[in-house]
Amino acid sequence: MERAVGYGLYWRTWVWLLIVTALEVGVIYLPVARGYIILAVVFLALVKASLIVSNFMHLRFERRALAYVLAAPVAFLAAMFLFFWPDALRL
Amino acid sequence: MQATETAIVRPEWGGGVSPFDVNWGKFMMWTFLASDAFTFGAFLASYVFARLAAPAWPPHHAILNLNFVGAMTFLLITSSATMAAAVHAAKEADARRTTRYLVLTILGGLTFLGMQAYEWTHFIEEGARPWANPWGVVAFSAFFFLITGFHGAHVTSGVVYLLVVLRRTVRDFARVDPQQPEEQRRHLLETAAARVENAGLYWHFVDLVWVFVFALMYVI
Repeated sequence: MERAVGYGLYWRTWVWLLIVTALEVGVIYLPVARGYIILAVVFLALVKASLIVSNFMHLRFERRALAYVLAAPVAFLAAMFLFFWPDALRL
Repeated sequence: MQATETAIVRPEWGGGVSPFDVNWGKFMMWTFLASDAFTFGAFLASYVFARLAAPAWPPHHAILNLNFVGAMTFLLITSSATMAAAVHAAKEADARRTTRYLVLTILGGLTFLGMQAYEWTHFIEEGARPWANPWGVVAFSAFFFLITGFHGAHVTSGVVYLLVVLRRTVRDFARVDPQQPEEQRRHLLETAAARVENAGLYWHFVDLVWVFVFALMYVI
Protein backbone atom coordinates (compact mmCIF):
# COMPACT_ATOMS: atom_id res chain seq x y z
CA MET A 1 0.00 0.00 0.00
CA GLU A 2 2.86 2.38 0.80
CA ARG A 3 4.12 1.90 -2.75
CA ALA A 4 0.92 3.39 -4.16
CA VAL A 5 1.51 6.73 -2.42
CA GLY A 6 3.91 8.95 -4.31
CA TYR A 7 4.39 11.54 -7.00
CA GLY A 8 2.95 9.20 -9.64
CA LEU A 9 -0.40 8.93 -7.88
CA TYR A 10 -0.64 12.71 -7.51
CA TRP A 11 0.13 13.46 -11.14
CA ARG A 12 -2.35 10.82 -12.29
CA THR A 13 -4.99 12.33 -9.99
CA TRP A 14 -4.18 15.78 -11.38
CA VAL A 15 -4.65 14.58 -14.97
CA TRP A 16 -7.97 12.91 -14.09
CA LEU A 17 -9.23 16.02 -12.33
CA LEU A 18 -8.47 18.08 -15.43
CA ILE A 19 -10.17 15.54 -17.71
CA VAL A 20 -13.30 15.48 -15.54
CA THR A 21 -13.35 19.31 -15.39
CA ALA A 22 -13.18 19.43 -19.20
CA LEU A 23 -16.07 16.95 -19.38
CA GLU A 24 -18.06 19.09 -16.93
CA VAL A 25 -17.71 22.14 -19.17
CA GLY A 26 -18.34 19.99 -22.24
CA VAL A 27 -21.64 18.44 -21.16
CA ILE A 28 -23.43 21.79 -20.96
CA TYR A 29 -23.29 21.98 -24.76
CA LEU A 30 -24.98 18.59 -25.23
CA PRO A 31 -28.39 18.80 -26.92
CA VAL A 32 -30.28 17.01 -24.14
CA ALA A 33 -32.81 18.09 -21.51
CA ARG A 34 -31.46 20.45 -18.86
CA GLY A 35 -32.28 18.00 -16.06
CA TYR A 36 -29.84 15.44 -17.50
CA ILE A 37 -27.12 18.06 -17.83
CA ILE A 38 -27.56 19.09 -14.18
CA LEU A 39 -27.42 15.43 -13.10
CA ALA A 40 -24.26 14.88 -15.16
CA VAL A 41 -22.50 17.98 -13.80
CA VAL A 42 -23.36 17.06 -10.19
CA PHE A 43 -22.18 13.48 -10.78
CA LEU A 44 -18.88 14.70 -12.29
CA ALA A 45 -18.40 17.11 -9.36
CA LEU A 46 -18.84 14.19 -6.96
CA VAL A 47 -16.26 12.18 -8.95
CA LYS A 48 -13.79 15.06 -8.61
CA ALA A 49 -14.56 15.42 -4.90
CA SER A 50 -13.88 11.74 -4.25
CA LEU A 51 -10.62 11.89 -6.23
CA ILE A 52 -9.46 14.83 -4.09
CA VAL A 53 -10.52 13.31 -0.78
CA SER A 54 -9.19 9.81 -1.39
CA ASN A 55 -5.94 10.60 -3.22
CA PHE A 56 -4.84 14.16 -2.39
CA MET A 57 -6.11 14.05 1.21
CA HIS A 58 -5.14 10.33 1.20
CA LEU A 59 -8.19 9.27 3.16
CA ARG A 60 -8.00 5.86 1.45
CA PHE A 61 -4.63 5.27 3.10
CA GLU A 62 -5.93 6.11 6.59
CA ARG A 63 -7.65 3.80 9.04
CA ARG A 64 -11.20 2.99 7.97
CA ALA A 65 -12.49 4.40 11.28
CA LEU A 66 -11.50 7.93 10.23
CA ALA A 67 -13.40 7.62 6.96
CA TYR A 68 -16.48 6.37 8.81
CA VAL A 69 -16.36 9.31 11.21
CA LEU A 70 -16.13 11.71 8.28
CA ALA A 71 -18.97 9.98 6.44
CA ALA A 72 -21.39 11.15 9.16
CA PRO A 73 -21.16 14.89 8.38
CA VAL A 74 -21.44 14.11 4.66
CA ALA A 75 -24.68 12.22 5.34
CA PHE A 76 -26.01 15.16 7.37
CA LEU A 77 -25.10 17.55 4.55
CA ALA A 78 -26.95 15.39 2.04
CA ALA A 79 -29.95 15.30 4.37
CA MET A 80 -29.88 19.10 4.69
CA PHE A 81 -29.94 19.49 0.90
CA LEU A 82 -32.73 16.98 0.41
CA PHE A 83 -35.00 18.48 3.08
CA PHE A 84 -34.26 22.03 1.99
CA TRP A 85 -34.57 22.06 -1.77
CA PRO A 86 -38.06 20.61 -2.34
CA ASP A 87 -39.43 23.54 -0.32
CA ALA A 88 -38.14 26.00 -2.92
CA LEU A 89 -40.45 24.48 -5.52
CA ARG A 90 -43.49 25.02 -3.30
CA LEU A 91 -43.00 28.76 -3.08
CA MET B 1 -15.34 -14.79 15.02
CA GLN B 2 -16.88 -13.02 17.99
CA ALA B 3 -13.81 -13.63 20.12
CA THR B 4 -11.43 -12.29 17.47
CA GLU B 5 -13.47 -9.13 17.14
CA THR B 6 -13.41 -8.37 20.86
CA ALA B 7 -9.72 -9.05 20.99
CA ILE B 8 -9.09 -6.48 18.26
CA VAL B 9 -11.67 -3.90 19.29
CA ARG B 10 -11.13 -3.68 23.03
CA PRO B 11 -7.54 -2.48 23.25
CA GLU B 12 -8.17 -0.11 20.39
CA TRP B 13 -11.07 1.84 21.87
CA GLY B 14 -10.34 1.17 25.53
CA GLY B 15 -8.05 4.18 25.84
CA GLY B 16 -4.32 4.65 25.85
CA VAL B 17 -3.95 4.22 22.09
CA SER B 18 -4.96 6.25 19.06
CA PRO B 19 -7.84 4.42 17.37
CA PHE B 20 -7.50 6.55 14.24
CA ASP B 21 -3.73 6.20 14.18
CA VAL B 22 -3.18 9.86 13.25
CA ASN B 23 -1.47 12.67 15.13
CA TRP B 24 -3.71 15.04 17.07
CA GLY B 25 -3.09 17.88 14.63
CA LYS B 26 -4.36 15.84 11.73
CA PHE B 27 -7.46 14.75 13.62
CA MET B 28 -8.21 18.33 14.64
CA MET B 29 -7.74 19.49 11.07
CA TRP B 30 -10.22 16.88 9.80
CA THR B 31 -12.68 17.91 12.53
CA PHE B 32 -12.33 21.56 11.57
CA LEU B 33 -12.76 20.75 7.89
CA ALA B 34 -15.93 18.77 8.63
CA SER B 35 -17.36 21.81 10.43
CA ASP B 36 -16.23 24.11 7.61
CA ALA B 37 -17.98 21.81 5.15
CA PHE B 38 -21.22 22.64 6.96
CA THR B 39 -20.62 26.37 6.47
CA PHE B 40 -20.11 25.97 2.75
CA GLY B 41 -22.83 23.34 2.59
CA ALA B 42 -25.32 25.76 4.14
CA PHE B 43 -24.28 28.52 1.70
CA LEU B 44 -24.62 26.27 -1.31
CA ALA B 45 -27.90 24.80 -0.05
CA SER B 46 -29.40 28.28 0.33
CA TYR B 47 -28.01 29.34 -3.06
CA VAL B 48 -29.65 26.37 -4.80
CA PHE B 49 -32.84 27.08 -2.84
CA ALA B 50 -32.89 30.70 -4.03
CA ARG B 51 -32.18 29.64 -7.58
CA LEU B 52 -34.93 27.01 -7.61
CA ALA B 53 -37.37 29.50 -6.07
CA ALA B 54 -36.52 32.29 -8.53
CA PRO B 55 -38.94 32.53 -11.47
CA ALA B 56 -36.01 33.16 -13.83
CA TRP B 57 -32.23 33.19 -13.46
CA PRO B 58 -29.94 35.72 -15.21
CA PRO B 59 -28.00 34.34 -18.24
CA HIS B 60 -24.88 33.76 -16.14
CA HIS B 61 -22.91 32.17 -18.99
CA ALA B 62 -23.14 35.48 -20.83
CA ILE B 63 -22.21 37.50 -17.73
CA LEU B 64 -19.45 35.38 -16.18
CA ASN B 65 -16.65 34.17 -18.45
CA LEU B 66 -16.60 30.37 -18.13
CA ASN B 67 -13.22 30.07 -19.91
CA PHE B 68 -11.63 32.47 -17.45
CA VAL B 69 -13.11 30.60 -14.49
CA GLY B 70 -11.98 27.35 -16.13
CA ALA B 71 -8.42 28.69 -16.03
CA MET B 72 -8.89 29.56 -12.33
CA THR B 73 -10.10 26.00 -11.73
CA PHE B 74 -7.07 24.63 -13.57
CA LEU B 75 -4.79 26.71 -11.32
CA LEU B 76 -6.43 25.55 -8.11
CA ILE B 77 -6.34 21.87 -9.14
CA THR B 78 -2.68 22.24 -10.14
CA SER B 79 -1.79 23.91 -6.84
CA SER B 80 -3.52 21.03 -5.05
CA ALA B 81 -1.32 18.57 -6.98
CA THR B 82 1.87 20.50 -6.11
CA MET B 83 0.69 20.58 -2.49
CA ALA B 84 0.28 16.79 -2.48
CA ALA B 85 3.80 16.56 -3.93
CA ALA B 86 5.12 18.84 -1.16
CA VAL B 87 3.54 16.58 1.48
CA HIS B 88 5.19 13.54 -0.10
CA ALA B 89 8.57 15.30 -0.31
CA ALA B 90 8.32 16.35 3.34
CA LYS B 91 7.61 12.74 4.37
CA GLU B 92 10.74 11.67 2.49
CA ALA B 93 12.70 14.45 4.27
CA ASP B 94 13.51 15.97 0.88
CA ALA B 95 14.04 19.61 1.87
CA ARG B 96 14.72 20.94 -1.64
CA ARG B 97 11.56 19.45 -3.18
CA THR B 98 9.36 20.34 -0.18
CA THR B 99 10.40 23.98 -0.49
CA ARG B 100 10.00 24.02 -4.25
CA TYR B 101 6.51 22.49 -4.24
CA LEU B 102 5.34 24.68 -1.35
CA VAL B 103 6.49 27.78 -3.23
CA LEU B 104 4.69 26.60 -6.38
CA THR B 105 1.51 25.99 -4.36
CA ILE B 106 1.66 29.47 -2.84
CA LEU B 107 2.23 31.02 -6.28
CA GLY B 108 -0.78 29.10 -7.62
CA GLY B 109 -2.92 30.40 -4.76
CA LEU B 110 -1.77 33.98 -5.29
CA THR B 111 -2.45 33.81 -9.04
CA PHE B 112 -5.92 32.40 -8.32
CA LEU B 113 -6.61 35.33 -5.99
CA GLY B 114 -5.36 37.81 -8.58
CA MET B 115 -7.70 36.32 -11.19
CA GLN B 116 -10.58 36.40 -8.74
CA ALA B 117 -9.90 40.08 -8.01
CA TYR B 118 -9.97 40.71 -11.77
CA GLU B 119 -13.25 38.79 -12.13
CA TRP B 120 -14.86 40.69 -9.24
CA THR B 121 -13.70 44.04 -10.65
CA HIS B 122 -15.25 43.20 -14.01
CA PHE B 123 -18.49 42.04 -12.36
CA ILE B 124 -18.72 45.15 -10.18
CA GLU B 125 -18.06 47.42 -13.15
CA GLU B 126 -21.05 45.85 -14.89
CA GLY B 127 -23.18 47.03 -11.98
CA ALA B 128 -23.29 43.94 -9.76
CA ARG B 129 -23.55 44.58 -6.01
CA PRO B 130 -24.36 42.21 -3.15
CA TRP B 131 -27.70 44.03 -2.76
CA ALA B 132 -28.53 44.83 -6.39
CA ASN B 133 -27.66 44.08 -10.02
CA PRO B 134 -28.88 45.04 -13.49
CA TRP B 135 -30.21 41.53 -14.31
CA GLY B 136 -33.27 41.56 -12.08
CA VAL B 137 -32.59 38.74 -9.60
CA VAL B 138 -30.80 40.15 -6.53
CA ALA B 139 -29.97 36.64 -5.24
CA PHE B 140 -27.72 36.09 -8.28
CA SER B 141 -25.10 38.68 -7.32
CA ALA B 142 -25.76 38.36 -3.57
CA PHE B 143 -24.86 34.67 -3.55
CA PHE B 144 -22.03 35.20 -6.02
CA PHE B 145 -20.28 37.66 -3.72
CA LEU B 146 -21.09 35.69 -0.57
CA ILE B 147 -19.89 32.31 -1.77
CA THR B 148 -16.93 33.22 -3.99
CA GLY B 149 -15.93 35.81 -1.37
CA PHE B 150 -16.01 33.28 1.42
CA HIS B 151 -14.04 30.84 -0.69
CA GLY B 152 -11.54 33.56 -1.63
CA ALA B 153 -11.11 34.36 2.07
CA HIS B 154 -10.25 30.69 2.59
CA VAL B 155 -7.67 30.81 -0.21
CA THR B 156 -6.19 33.98 1.34
CA SER B 157 -5.96 32.32 4.78
CA GLY B 158 -4.46 29.28 3.05
CA VAL B 159 -1.73 31.35 1.43
CA VAL B 160 -0.84 32.93 4.80
CA TYR B 161 -0.94 29.49 6.47
CA LEU B 162 1.33 28.02 3.78
CA LEU B 163 3.78 30.92 4.07
CA VAL B 164 4.10 30.25 7.81
CA VAL B 165 4.49 26.51 7.17
CA LEU B 166 7.11 27.19 4.49
CA ARG B 167 9.15 29.36 6.85
CA ARG B 168 9.01 26.80 9.66
CA THR B 169 9.75 23.88 7.36
CA VAL B 170 12.84 25.58 5.94
CA ARG B 171 13.94 26.37 9.51
CA ASP B 172 13.37 22.80 10.73
CA PHE B 173 15.14 21.18 7.79
CA ALA B 174 18.09 23.51 8.39
CA ARG B 175 18.24 22.30 11.99
CA VAL B 176 18.69 18.67 10.95
CA ASP B 177 22.23 17.69 11.71
CA PRO B 178 23.90 14.27 11.24
CA GLN B 179 25.63 14.82 14.60
CA GLN B 180 22.25 14.81 16.41
CA PRO B 181 21.03 11.75 18.25
CA GLU B 182 18.91 9.64 15.87
CA GLU B 183 15.81 10.07 18.07
CA GLN B 184 16.01 13.87 18.01
CA ARG B 185 16.57 14.04 14.28
CA ARG B 186 13.63 11.75 13.56
CA HIS B 187 11.37 13.81 15.82
CA LEU B 188 12.37 17.01 14.01
CA LEU B 189 11.67 15.50 10.59
CA GLU B 190 8.38 13.92 11.66
CA THR B 191 7.12 17.19 13.14
CA ALA B 192 8.05 19.05 9.97
CA ALA B 193 6.32 16.46 7.76
CA ALA B 194 3.17 16.46 9.91
CA ARG B 195 2.98 20.26 9.71
CA VAL B 196 3.15 20.21 5.92
CA GLU B 197 0.63 17.37 5.74
CA ASN B 198 -1.97 19.12 7.92
CA ALA B 199 -1.60 22.35 5.96
CA GLY B 200 -2.06 20.22 2.84
CA LEU B 201 -5.40 18.91 4.12
CA TYR B 202 -6.62 22.49 4.47
CA TRP B 203 -5.41 23.40 1.00
CA HIS B 204 -7.07 20.37 -0.62
CA PHE B 205 -10.30 21.22 1.19
CA VAL B 206 -10.27 24.68 -0.38
CA ASP B 207 -9.89 22.96 -3.75
CA LEU B 208 -12.71 20.56 -2.81
CA VAL B 209 -15.08 23.42 -2.03
CA TRP B 210 -14.21 25.06 -5.35
CA VAL B 211 -15.28 21.86 -7.16
CA PHE B 212 -18.83 22.47 -5.94
CA VAL B 213 -18.76 26.25 -6.33
CA PHE B 214 -17.55 25.81 -9.92
CA ALA B 215 -20.15 23.15 -10.73
CA LEU B 216 -23.17 24.80 -9.09
CA MET B 217 -22.51 28.51 -9.67
CA TYR B 218 -20.64 28.63 -12.97
CA VAL B 219 -21.25 25.46 -14.97
CA ILE B 220 -24.92 24.77 -14.28
